[in-house]
Amino acid sequence: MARVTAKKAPAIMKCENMFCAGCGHSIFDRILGEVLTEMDIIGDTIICSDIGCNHQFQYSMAVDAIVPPHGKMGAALTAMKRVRPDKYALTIAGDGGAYAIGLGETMACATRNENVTFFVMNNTCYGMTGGQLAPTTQIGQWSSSTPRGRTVEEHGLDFDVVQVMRNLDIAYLARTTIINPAEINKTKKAVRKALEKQRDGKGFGLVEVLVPCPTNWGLTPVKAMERIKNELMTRYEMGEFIDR
Amino acid sequence: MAEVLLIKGNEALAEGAIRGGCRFYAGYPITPQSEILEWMGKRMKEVDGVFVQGESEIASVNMVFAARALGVRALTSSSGPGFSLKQEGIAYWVSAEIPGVVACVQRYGIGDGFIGAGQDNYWQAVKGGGNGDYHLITLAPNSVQENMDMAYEAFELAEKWMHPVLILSDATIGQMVEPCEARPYKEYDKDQYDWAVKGTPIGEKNKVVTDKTYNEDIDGWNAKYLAKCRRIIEEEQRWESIQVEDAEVVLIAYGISSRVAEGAVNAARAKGIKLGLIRPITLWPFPRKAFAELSKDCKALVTVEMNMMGQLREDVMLYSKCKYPVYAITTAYKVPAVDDVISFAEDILAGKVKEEEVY
Repeated sequence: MARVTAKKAPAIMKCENMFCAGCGHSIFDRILGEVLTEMDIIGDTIICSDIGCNHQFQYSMAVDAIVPPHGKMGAALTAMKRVRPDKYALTIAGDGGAYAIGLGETMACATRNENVTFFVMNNTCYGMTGGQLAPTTQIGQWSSSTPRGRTVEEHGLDFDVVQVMRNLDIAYLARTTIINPAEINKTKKAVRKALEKQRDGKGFGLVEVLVPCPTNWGLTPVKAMERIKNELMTRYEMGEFIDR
Repeated sequence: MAEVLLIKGNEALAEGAIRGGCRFYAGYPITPQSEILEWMGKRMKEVDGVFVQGESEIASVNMVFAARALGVRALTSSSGPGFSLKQEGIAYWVSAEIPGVVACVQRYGIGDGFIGAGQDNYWQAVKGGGNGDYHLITLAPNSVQENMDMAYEAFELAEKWMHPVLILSDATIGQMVEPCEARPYKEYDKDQYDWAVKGTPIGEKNKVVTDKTYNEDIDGWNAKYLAKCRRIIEEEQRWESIQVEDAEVVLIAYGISSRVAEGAVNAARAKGIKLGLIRPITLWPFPRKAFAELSKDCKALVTVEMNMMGQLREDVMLYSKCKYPVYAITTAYKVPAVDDVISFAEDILAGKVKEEEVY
């Protein structure tokens, strides 16, 4: 009988994370921690935090970081990379931060093709504040601020970053998820590739990762993963869209 | 021999910052401060610094947060509604103890307002401006030379206290041209402070620049912040007193209004009227010690300021502990005239002005 052994977490993951059971952020953080370790760039990395669930990476990851206001990562990363071009400047962002309150800064950063990297966790809601409508909330999806569900008439179509960015002059654009080992491996490859673009001075990279939020979706962790597979992965195009 | 430049106040402010070690600037165009942005666009290239024209004031203030957190001396500037947009970001500087520097070239009006000079950002400047209770160390230049000198020293002042510094200029000082002595270039290394974030290898303690109360006991940090504010109040009060020793009416004015007020003191003295002037150079901490120099002959204090409501007057009442009647000459969007200041003082001495009727 095959023995399954857990892979040891790299040293950058300094302690247990503080995310809810079944949350996708913790899986992504581990992926990022492994990539930074394998590329041997932890000491050359500065993370710009968003504010929201995502910012809790700082409690379990031993890496330098700054925490500007919610959503302003596009601006902060620009300054970080320009004053210390020898460092990797990246953010672990939420969909509300990157696409709602910070959409202006995200787009301005992309249109300047700044040599920085965005990892955006799309969980189709505002997680930390209790599951309100986000730009990525699906049509018909319940949220705590849209009790009858999202409608096109009232809230417009859900935001699709690939549609918005695919014609920009940027280095890398991909959408992945973390619902099973195969998808985790794809995410890990995309994370590494986006950081290699930055290493090679190619410019702006964004990887959107579809992650579950069992707490606010009102689903078990397993059912939340199934929702991504059945609902989100059929709604969204998956894969790489820009690779320059 | 010192290098003397003949430049605009805004340009002097930008040049003073560069010579004071500033190597990052981000800003957004808004009259009447755009010359700071333009000067930085040209000069940062020449000194191997970084210039970014941000997509907004909000982006710019947060670019400065990031550049400063990574160790670089960094400046942003704005005016009117643009300064309002920066307030959230400045509050984050305070909570993370980021020694950033911001300049506000005041223009007159509420909301969009006008593009000409005003002094109606006083409350916003010295009473906080963003959320939470804090004060910005606020410098008030009244000449092109002081625009240069205050920007030149602002970074060291901010680093001394690990606290943001505001230079509260105005459109008249910013737009006028005067001779100005250029200061020598300061040496500054972005790695010279331990607090600067520059990446930490595994095995060493990593750094996170964020609201200090996330990682420190909140009561402990609050006590430290209050103690720091008290030390700043004690050590950083600056003012200039002109002929206050025997003055019967003492004017209080900063910025462009203080230039007029000084002219009024000299003209009034020639007519035998005993006027004096206290010019606050720091607006926070307010130079409360200046009132100790007043004589028993002082009958009234009069602020001269370009707004509607007498914003400075409220602080003068507070810090003089209402020992004297306090009046205000408020001229909104017009620079006050020397003759009007003198006749107002004469009316006060003749008992013709009641304190409550000022506005």
